[in-house]
Amino acid sequence: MNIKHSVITTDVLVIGSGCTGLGAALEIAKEGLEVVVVEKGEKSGQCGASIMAIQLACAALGVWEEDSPELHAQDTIKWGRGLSDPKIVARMTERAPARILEFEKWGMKFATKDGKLQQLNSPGHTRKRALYVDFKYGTGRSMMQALSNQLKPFTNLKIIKNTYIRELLKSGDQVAGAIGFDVANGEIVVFHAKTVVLATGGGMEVYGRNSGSRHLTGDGYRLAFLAGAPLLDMEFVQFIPMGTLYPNFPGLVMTILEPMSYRTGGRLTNAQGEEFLDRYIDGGLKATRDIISYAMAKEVLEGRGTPHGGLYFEPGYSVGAEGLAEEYGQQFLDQFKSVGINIASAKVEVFPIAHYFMGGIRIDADGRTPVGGLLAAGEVAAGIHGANRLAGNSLTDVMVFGQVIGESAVEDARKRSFLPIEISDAINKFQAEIINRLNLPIDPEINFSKLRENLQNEMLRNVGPVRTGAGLQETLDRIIGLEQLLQSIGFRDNTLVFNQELIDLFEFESMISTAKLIVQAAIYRKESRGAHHREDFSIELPEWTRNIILKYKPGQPQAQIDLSS
Amino acid sequence: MPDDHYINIFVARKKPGNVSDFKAQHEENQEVLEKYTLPYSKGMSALDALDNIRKLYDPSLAYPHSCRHGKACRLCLAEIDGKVDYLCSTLARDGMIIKSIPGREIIRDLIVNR
Repeated sequence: MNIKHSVITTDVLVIGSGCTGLGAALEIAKEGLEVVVVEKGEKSGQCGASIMAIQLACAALGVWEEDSPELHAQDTIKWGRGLSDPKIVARMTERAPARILEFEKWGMKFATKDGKLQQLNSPGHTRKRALYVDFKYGTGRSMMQALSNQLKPFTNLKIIKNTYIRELLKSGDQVAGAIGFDVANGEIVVFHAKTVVLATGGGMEVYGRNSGSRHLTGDGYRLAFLAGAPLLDMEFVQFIPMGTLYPNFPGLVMTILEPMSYRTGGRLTNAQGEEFLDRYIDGGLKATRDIISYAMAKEVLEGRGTPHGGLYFEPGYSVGAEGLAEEYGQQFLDQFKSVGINIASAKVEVFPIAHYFMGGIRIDADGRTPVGGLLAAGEVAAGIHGANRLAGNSLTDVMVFGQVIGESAVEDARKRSFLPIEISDAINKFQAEIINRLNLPIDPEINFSKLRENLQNEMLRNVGPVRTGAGLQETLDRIIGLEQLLQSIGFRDNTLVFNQELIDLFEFESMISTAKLIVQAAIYRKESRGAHHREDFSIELPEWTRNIILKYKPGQPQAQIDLSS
Repeated sequence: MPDDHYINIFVARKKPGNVSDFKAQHEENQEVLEKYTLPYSKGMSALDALDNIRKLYDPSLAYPHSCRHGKACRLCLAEIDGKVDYLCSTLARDGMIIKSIPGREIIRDLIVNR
């Protein structure tokens, strides 16, 4: 059996088509270079986290009160608990105001008040700097539409969908391309490029309850790690407190109730009717996400949870139907009505859900990784958010860094040539891997769908907002067990077009790598800081104000660990 | 309906043929309506039902989806009981029939060329 293959040559290869990837592609296309964006989902710009954003973007525009990029940076670093890279943060906060206005000019529908851009308070930010888009348009949808429209004129920009990148190809110590599988055509695709941009987003799909799409399996962490790029802060995973638990709201994102917690006075209680947050923190629901998520998880662990293992949240407790309609629009209430819920008077069960990865690939303020030819930005990269990301700083990150990394890619691609890569070796190796898999026996009791769920539950159980050394070790052992099991599982189906088991295999490999990195770093960090809370080391220790850096060591099952100075 | 019930869901299945020749594929390889019995829980969507089919019966079932619960990705369109709608925002019910959206070439199961 021979699998068809093709080779695509381009100045810059961008992996991922969220706001960072498409933002980078725009800058590159504007400069007249050839750029290929490769996306694993069925539609570009619609399969990652960007499109799902329903909340805020922060920038020191100072519309309603005096503000500055320096203050924005200060807040970001403070709540990142000292682990952010000040240069990367400064790049974001300095560029944010102009970039927000650029997106507005392109048609992003930021909410206004009295004819001016509305800017709200949001937890951790000391100024009113959070912009948003009304629910009827959707923050993410409006942002991605605005950006996608800008891409239309460029014929030197090509988007390839349905293609899963499996490995970055190197020429010596430089990245010079990538190999992947086009699942729609059942073909291997090799990309040869002067510069490769990783914009693959996060990996929250390693957790059972998460706010992302099923495509966010941490592919970029695995690709970069295996290519020799260092990763840092992987132990810091943000959980968003008001994740919907029960009932299920079909067709509504699981983060939909979050704004009601800090914007409009929702009420959070345990099974005994107690507003328990006061026992943990000052400021109640206006505190940052890491602290609230920890308090909620702890409350449930101590037996004061609801029947489905969460807490009770009353979104309309303070403001009622009128207040909710005024703040979020009538359509917001109607969405719930259409699934049989009167949200203004509802008491729903909520529990924190995995939402964002603060850690990722080490980059500098221009988005360059220590590996030549490889750039990264957005959620897949680290450096801005440290141990805890503030609400509204992720959209700012992706809007700004799409542009930053695009500029860097242009500069690099102009300087670099097409380095030689062993294309046929890469194809033969990948083909052998797939064919070998198609010939493996089937175990009727096991499939990738079940294994994925096992991993997700394992991560939720021991690697969520409350962690212990023993629990983390137990989970690491189980992940290694799953990784071994993965080697021997055959497919029920041996065709190559939209072979869901093949897709599951690709994604599961990324998820296993990502989960291992998180757990390994979480075991190593023997303190509590931001989103990483260890019951056995429950306080923040000054000597741990350092990043844990993970590096691939060929032939070793686990990453080598270094600490930043 | 109480939470512990089982429901039957019918899904139109189709294997991929030679992708470069959709005409031949249609002739050789007809759509088959398969029945799956699933545990029901309150608020379960049609997309949840398909996820469960993959877990419990057949991991090869292919259907368009990404964001899963937000109508954000706008991928999970299918013909559900004769009407084109999003799988993630449609409640699952006993006897539900899920087919690929009509008038498009079927690549595999519920995945169409679009």
